[in-house]
Amino acid sequence: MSTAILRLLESVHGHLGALAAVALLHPAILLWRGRPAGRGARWSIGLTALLTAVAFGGGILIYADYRRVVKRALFREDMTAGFLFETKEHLALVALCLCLGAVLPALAKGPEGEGQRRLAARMFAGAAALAWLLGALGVWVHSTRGF
Amino acid sequence: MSQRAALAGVVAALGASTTYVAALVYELAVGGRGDPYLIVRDVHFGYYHRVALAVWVGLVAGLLAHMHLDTDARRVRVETQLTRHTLWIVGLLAIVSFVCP
Repeated sequence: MSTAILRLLESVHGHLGALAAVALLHPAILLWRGRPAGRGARWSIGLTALLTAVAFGGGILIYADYRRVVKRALFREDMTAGFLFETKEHLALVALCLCLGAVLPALAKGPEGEGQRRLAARMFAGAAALAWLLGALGVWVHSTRGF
Repeated sequence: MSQRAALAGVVAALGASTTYVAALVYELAVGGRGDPYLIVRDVHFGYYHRVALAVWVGLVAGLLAHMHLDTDARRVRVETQLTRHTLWIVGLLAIVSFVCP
């Protein structure tokens, strides 16, 4: 891929990640007390999962070129930023797992599903916290070196 | 979708996350931290390897949980424990990810 396309994909990945960080808060707040998810909340849950998965997929898409073009230069310029990028990779996978794993319990119906909805809210909250952290790390790394 | 399957999905997600970080720690414990200047792009497949391993272990953990959670009492107990501890687990995984990048 050309550098221009990589820069564009990197930017899109960053923006989708920021949107996902905000979106993840919504189901966490809606489900925190275990109330059943209405129609709007179910849309919120589905779209949040989709957005998070697409943001993660965007990162995977440019990861091979990142290794080829950026990684060594990033470590040369700032070792801390290089290792923070590695941390960002790890946390991104954990955030994705939490978000996807929370979808089914979030959609639990009836009063007997209250516990599952509370659990889903905690998972979305954890994913949101990680996503905000990922955003901060992403900005730090990108300010050091990008495509 | 049954609550049992949903809870098994939660176990799979937490299992995959934990496995990924555990594999990371294991790699560093066994091989030590390599010199980042010596990174060779064609052989650096650690990330994909860890993700694949985490997904497989997560799926197995989910299946085992699905088999185990065959009564309401067990399901409620696991659900309560996970609700109480999930954010702690996430915090721990985040700290380990920072300590072992």
